[in-house]
Amino acid sequence: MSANASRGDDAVLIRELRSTLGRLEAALATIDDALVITTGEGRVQWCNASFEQLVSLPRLLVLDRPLDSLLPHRDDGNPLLPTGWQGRGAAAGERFTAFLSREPVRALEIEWEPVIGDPSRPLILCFRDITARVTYASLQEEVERSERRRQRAEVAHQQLQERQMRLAAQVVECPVTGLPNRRGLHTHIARALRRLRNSQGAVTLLFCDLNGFKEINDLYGHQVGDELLIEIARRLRRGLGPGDVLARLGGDEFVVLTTAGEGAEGEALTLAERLQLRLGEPWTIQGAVVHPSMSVGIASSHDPLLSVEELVRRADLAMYEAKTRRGRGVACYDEAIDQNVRQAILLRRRLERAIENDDLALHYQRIVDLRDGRTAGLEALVRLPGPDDTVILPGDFIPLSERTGLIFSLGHWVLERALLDLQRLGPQAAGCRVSVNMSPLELRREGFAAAILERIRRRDMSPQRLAIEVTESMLIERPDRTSGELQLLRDAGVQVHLDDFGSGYSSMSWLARLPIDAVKIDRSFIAEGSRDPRKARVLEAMVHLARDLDLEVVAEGIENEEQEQRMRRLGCGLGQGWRFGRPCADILEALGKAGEDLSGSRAGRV
Amino acid sequence: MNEPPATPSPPPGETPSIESLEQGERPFVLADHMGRVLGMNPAFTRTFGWTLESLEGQPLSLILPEAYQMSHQLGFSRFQATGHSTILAHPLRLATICRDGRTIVSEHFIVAEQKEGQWVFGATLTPLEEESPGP
Repeated sequence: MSANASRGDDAVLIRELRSTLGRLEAALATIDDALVITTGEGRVQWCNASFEQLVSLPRLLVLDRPLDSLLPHRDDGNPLLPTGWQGRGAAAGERFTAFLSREPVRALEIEWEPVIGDPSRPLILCFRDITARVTYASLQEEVERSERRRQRAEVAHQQLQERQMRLAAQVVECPVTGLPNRRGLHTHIARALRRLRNSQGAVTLLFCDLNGFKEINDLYGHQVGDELLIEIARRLRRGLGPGDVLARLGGDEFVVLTTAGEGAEGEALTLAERLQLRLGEPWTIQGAVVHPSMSVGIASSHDPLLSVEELVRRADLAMYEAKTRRGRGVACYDEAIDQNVRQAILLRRRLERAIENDDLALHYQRIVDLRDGRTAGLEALVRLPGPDDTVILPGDFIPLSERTGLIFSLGHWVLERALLDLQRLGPQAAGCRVSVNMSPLELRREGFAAAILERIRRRDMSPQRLAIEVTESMLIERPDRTSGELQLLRDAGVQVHLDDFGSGYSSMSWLARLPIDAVKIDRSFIAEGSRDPRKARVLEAMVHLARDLDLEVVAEGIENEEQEQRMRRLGCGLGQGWRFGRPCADILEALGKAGEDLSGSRAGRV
Repeated sequence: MNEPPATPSPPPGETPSIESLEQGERPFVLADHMGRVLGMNPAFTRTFGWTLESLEGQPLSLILPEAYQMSHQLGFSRFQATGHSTILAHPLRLATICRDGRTIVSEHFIVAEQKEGQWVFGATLTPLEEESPGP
């Protein structure tokens, strides 16, 4: 081959090599990994575009510079490459991960290796961004760690619960009173029932529930509450006979276990009364005198096969029955109690549903001016739809609603509906005032008056169109607090009427102190006033006193002309009762029957 | 140190021809498509000491420091393979090796043109104020 031909071949070869190198160079510019070639001493000889981005410098400014001086530092401030990396990598290369920052995570995987066979020992380095991989891996790891922690905690919690249950199973004594607890009582009852198999007699439980214990706890704190429990345990124990067992189930519930002969129930009643007597002795706490009281439910069994749970359940039911009864607060279990409880549950469900579904009804009964027969106002009376198109009257469900706390949503519904109906009447009855009954429980609520006034304000109505009816017991029990709330209402224009006056512990002296505008004389005085001269005298005195105190007087339950005339003669201004119309389901209809124009202020006297 | 000539650098966005660079007063060198030196002007010889006889037919990389040579070769190859370059037609601050071994930091301005189907490269190498010590 000639020299010229050889040079020509070289040129072709060089062109081919250059073309190959050029394509590789272009390809390396497109990858995300940052590549750099350095001398054996670590000075940059070549890099790709990703390396330029990594160090934020163009290639011409990184050439011949020490690689160390170009690279960012680790998150802990140390150089990205370890000291003497060139020497360490000279033999076989190395790979490791380094963090540029932890928050947010930015991590690089760094790899280098020497170009074996080149005497100048250049090094090829690759910087790969593995942030996404590390972040995902870290998250995975953290999730797994959390899951392991959760599992450990769950196991520990379960073990703790089991341990607590094992310990609780061993505890048969109330820590406050030292009396047997529910578990201890169970053992005593079971033992007593077993004894019945071989002997005559009965096992009797007296389920005792303290009245008003929660209020004492709330008022004076749990420490005082505990002291009271200890004192009660002491008093009850003193009233027991030999062999009787006293236990505390928890809260304010005590149970007496007693065994007796054939007259078990009579003996239990005597015991209950004795215990109530002992318990009721005054107890002084922080300068205040408390008279503890309790309701007692009695259940007896001659049947040794009756379960402990059933006997306790019966006594418990009897206790609830005792709580609903007025008087001594003692009741004995019988099947009717079971029936009552079932009915109470059904009634409660019916009431809850009616409130929830807006199925209640508000009826209105006229209050009439006895002087001219015109309508002076309306009383709103709530009705609960019963089964088979019957109607349940308030007397049958209000006590239950008060026991269960439903009274608050019920009261809310009644007031809302009354205000809505009043609004619907429009200007033609601007002078019509509607009376709404309030429960003592509602009146005891903080901010009672403000809440009512706010609801009137929201409907942009005059407060003078509303009257609330309260019973005297609630005013006498908590005169200061309730008087303040009622006065707020009166100041705003809402009238306050004292309902069922004369039926409770009426005290004439109280009448002058109460913040009221009118008294509604209980229907029993109207009905019996003509037959009972003593009642007639009291009625007369009540009307005169109220008038002397400048209070309006409403006679409730007027059913006939004779009663109407007598009340008019006594000087009673207003009357209400079937004589003037039964409660009517529609407010407009109630007014329409009167056929009057109520747009003026005259009809709003009550 | 040589004073830079008074002729200004070409305005940005306007690529001068090889001919206009060659006719200017700045040191100028011409290379063929293989990167071999084809010619130079007297200013180049005055500034860097290289004569046409000493460089003609030699790789242009001879006048570049060793650390730049790999990058130069790869960049040159890439241009030939793809027609894409990041260094053409704008001033580059680079070191230039003199014939006596000294290094002079210069502003290189390189343009490429096709003549008779082949690329040729012309560059002005304007010394900057400082002078680097020899390698």
